[in-house]
Amino acid sequence: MSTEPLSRVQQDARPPADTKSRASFFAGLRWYHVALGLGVLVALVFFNSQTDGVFLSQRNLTLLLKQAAILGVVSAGMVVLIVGRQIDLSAGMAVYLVSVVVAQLSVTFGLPLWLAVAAGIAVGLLLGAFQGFMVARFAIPAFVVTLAGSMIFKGVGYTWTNATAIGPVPQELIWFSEGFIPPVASAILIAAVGALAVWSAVRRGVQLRRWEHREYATVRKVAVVVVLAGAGMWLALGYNGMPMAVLIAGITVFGVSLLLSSTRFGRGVYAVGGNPQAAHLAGLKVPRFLLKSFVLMGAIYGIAGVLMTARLGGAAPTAGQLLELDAIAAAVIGGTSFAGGIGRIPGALLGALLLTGIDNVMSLMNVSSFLQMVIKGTILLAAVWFDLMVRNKRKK
Amino acid sequence: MMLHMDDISVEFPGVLAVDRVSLEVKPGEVRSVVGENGAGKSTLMKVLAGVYPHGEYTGVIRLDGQEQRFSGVADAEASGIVMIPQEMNMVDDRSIAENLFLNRVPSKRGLVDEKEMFSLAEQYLAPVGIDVSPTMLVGELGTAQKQMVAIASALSKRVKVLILDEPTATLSGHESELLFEQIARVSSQGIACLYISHRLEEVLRISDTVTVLRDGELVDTEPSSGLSERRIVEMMIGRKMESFFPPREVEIGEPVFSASGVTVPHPMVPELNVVEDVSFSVRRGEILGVFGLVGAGRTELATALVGHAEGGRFDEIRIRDERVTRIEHPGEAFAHGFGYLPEDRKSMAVVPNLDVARSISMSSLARLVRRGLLDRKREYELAEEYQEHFRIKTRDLSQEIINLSGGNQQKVMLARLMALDLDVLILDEPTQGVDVGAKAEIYRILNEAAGQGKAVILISSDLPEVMGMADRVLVMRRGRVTGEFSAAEATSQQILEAATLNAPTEMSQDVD
Ligand SMILES: Nc1ncnc2c1ncn2[C@@H]1O[C@H](COP(=O)(O)OP(=O)(O)OP(=O)(O)O)[C@@H](O)[C@H]1O
Ligand SMILES: [Mg+2]
Repeated sequence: MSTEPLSRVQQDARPPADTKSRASFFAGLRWYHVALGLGVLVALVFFNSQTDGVFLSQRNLTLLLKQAAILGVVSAGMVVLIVGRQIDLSAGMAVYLVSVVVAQLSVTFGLPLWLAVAAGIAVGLLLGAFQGFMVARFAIPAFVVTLAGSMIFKGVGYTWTNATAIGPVPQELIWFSEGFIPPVASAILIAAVGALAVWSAVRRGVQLRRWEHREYATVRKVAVVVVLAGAGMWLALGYNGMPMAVLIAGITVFGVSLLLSSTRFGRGVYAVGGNPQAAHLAGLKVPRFLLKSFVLMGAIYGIAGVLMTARLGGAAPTAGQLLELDAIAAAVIGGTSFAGGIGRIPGALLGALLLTGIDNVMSLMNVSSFLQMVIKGTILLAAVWFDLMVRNKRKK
Repeated sequence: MMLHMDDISVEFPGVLAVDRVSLEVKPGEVRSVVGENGAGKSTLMKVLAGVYPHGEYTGVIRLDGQEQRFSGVADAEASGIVMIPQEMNMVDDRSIAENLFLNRVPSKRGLVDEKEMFSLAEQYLAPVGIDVSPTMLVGELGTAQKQMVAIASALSKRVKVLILDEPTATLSGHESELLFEQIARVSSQGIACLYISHRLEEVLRISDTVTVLRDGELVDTEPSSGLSERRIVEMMIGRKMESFFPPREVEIGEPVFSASGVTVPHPMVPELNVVEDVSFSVRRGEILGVFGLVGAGRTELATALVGHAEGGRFDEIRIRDERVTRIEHPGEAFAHGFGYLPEDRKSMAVVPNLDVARSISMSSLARLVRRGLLDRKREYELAEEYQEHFRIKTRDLSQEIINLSGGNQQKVMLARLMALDLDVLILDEPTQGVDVGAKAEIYRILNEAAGQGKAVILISSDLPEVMGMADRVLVMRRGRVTGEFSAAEATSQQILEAATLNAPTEMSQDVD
């Protein structure tokens, strides 16, 4: 009897049981991925036919991207904050205030454009830093700080402008949002960025092959990049080229994304959001990460504010309204969790595109903007429900 | 009542956690389930308790011959199977009574019937022998008392099968005794107990039968009367174990760390200190054991040193030739060359969504940065080094840490601290929830660290561990040092006395 159990030892560690499931391009693909993909496809085709082919035209898609630029940038910042268990209810009004600063300085005070823009970005940073300081230093919940911030920023802006529109700003500034990079130049740029992305994905895949054993993840990544770059080139060549707003938003979002995924700062944000006490005991200075996250958000106020001024040709009193809620919705639709520690920027970008796409298609179909709100709300709920369901499945 | 589990298997992506295991438990039987970290013990029990509902495992569960297909924990509890999990779920800022009943709070016309709730709670708390008011917040209880509340809660549910997953991992010897009394009492009422532990001496003592798992498979089930610790270990790891505490031939050098006047106030009671003016020092190559019952103030002592104890203070710390009078943050302690491994893994150490590599590198990211960006490859290399060294069992290094078994999570936490390459390690229950083989390995690692001239402060409630590993033992009781012994000369009797006797003044005299 005593030899029986011992004899089993020789076999020792079993080989990983899942060689099967990793060995395919479609590994890990579940029915709900397929369902989601099909659903999106059907919806696209449906809306396209409902709008007589306008929806999926190169012109409309280009404008849609331009329209989504500001939301995309703010959503990226929102992901960083929510991952760190924070929230920002002031984003819309902060963007508005930055826009007021830029417009006032360049229109009313006639300052040189670069100075007005620099001042706008500086004010954005300041607003972010102020809120971050209140959260980090005095441990006031971000919800409260930014709710108050939202009121204050709006009030300051309205007081300064008497709640009127300020404009028009110089044409050069408008170009930063409404201008286009010529089609061929855009296509070359997109191809170059795409090639760079493929190269870095492959390099990473090869470098980390030993630990991640996910050859097909790399292949998939490459496939996604190729499809996206192809679509981008198709858009750029088919209409006026790449909108400046999209370029600026793209660079900003890439930067934020890199910060979050590949720097000590980003790691800290995930750790602090996942378990603040553990992060503290592991030697991370929690308040400092919170402050930095808000300063980063401040930079985003600045960039988004300048883009907003350029897009509207000045500061409009309605600018930025409800932007923060759309950004939160985009982040959440993209899989960011309020529990903290979970969330990625590409997901939020998809969320921003989805929300903007709904706006776009509904306007094309002449659906009232009130009904649009109902639809957006429903999609937000459905997305979170779907995400929770999938997450629960995967955890078991 | 008779419990059968037939051919149970559970598969996670990449791991077959439980592989065709069958069990049979009789009413009133105390059954221990043992095995190495990651052997599948918790997973098997979670199947039984409905955590993994029907459909997520294969095989059949039968109670009294009736097949059971639990749809969830509540369903299993309704059938009389209750599990007290490895990581207890209690709501710290709710009263004991509310935790006891959670979603079954007695109510009258839609409102909570507080009077009924508290009197019922008292009724259930009395038999498990905790003498506190049910209105007290659970957060104010120690681990042992929380466990008693959990047992009381289980008993209030008409339990037939009680599952305890590593209940004694965080208990001191005395508290474990209280738990064993309860287990004996419960089983004499015909309730079957399934008991998971890595402490084999208690397994032999309290259980009727022992089931051994290895790599998800059932090795054997035998009556405990015919077993010895040695034999169980053989069955668990599949080979003979030579020595448990590896021999130490370490040269003890000059003092490298000393602290004086450490004091920590009680978080709730003013003018009471949980640590009262404690001073000590360690030398290079030395392992200093700090023994005491739970609540003796050892954790508070350690956290005060790294600036984590609320209101904690000290006169000075000397590390190497440096004199430090303030530490505000654990990160500062790292910078000075000493660090702390927390006791409460779940709430103070594990960041749930990080993968294993990121969990290990978390404190030492500075050296993985190249041109501002983290070098993921170097991170994996670092993690891999520790994975091999500590034999961390995981599918791969990009597995989320929350999916590792408890003991393996503990090894990851130790790896995180060791990766900092500090001079002084303050380890709070570093082997809690760690299996015998892995324990021996951690001991080996600690010896190795000492051999490199580091000093190790080993806080532990496990007396054999302290006596086997430490060169010197500091005993604490009620926030004071009540004894200091050379481990080679002291007996466990002396150490226990210092930890439990009630006369503080006379004890503090007979130091070394
Ligand atoms: N949710 C999960 N996802 C993936 N793998 C899991 C999950 N839960 C457990 N595992 C794996 O299943 C195996 C068995 O884990 P289990 O927690 O049952 O071990 P255990 O015997 O309780 O160990 P310990 O003594 O350390 O608590 C381990 O290899 C673990 O990594
Ligand atoms: Mg376990």
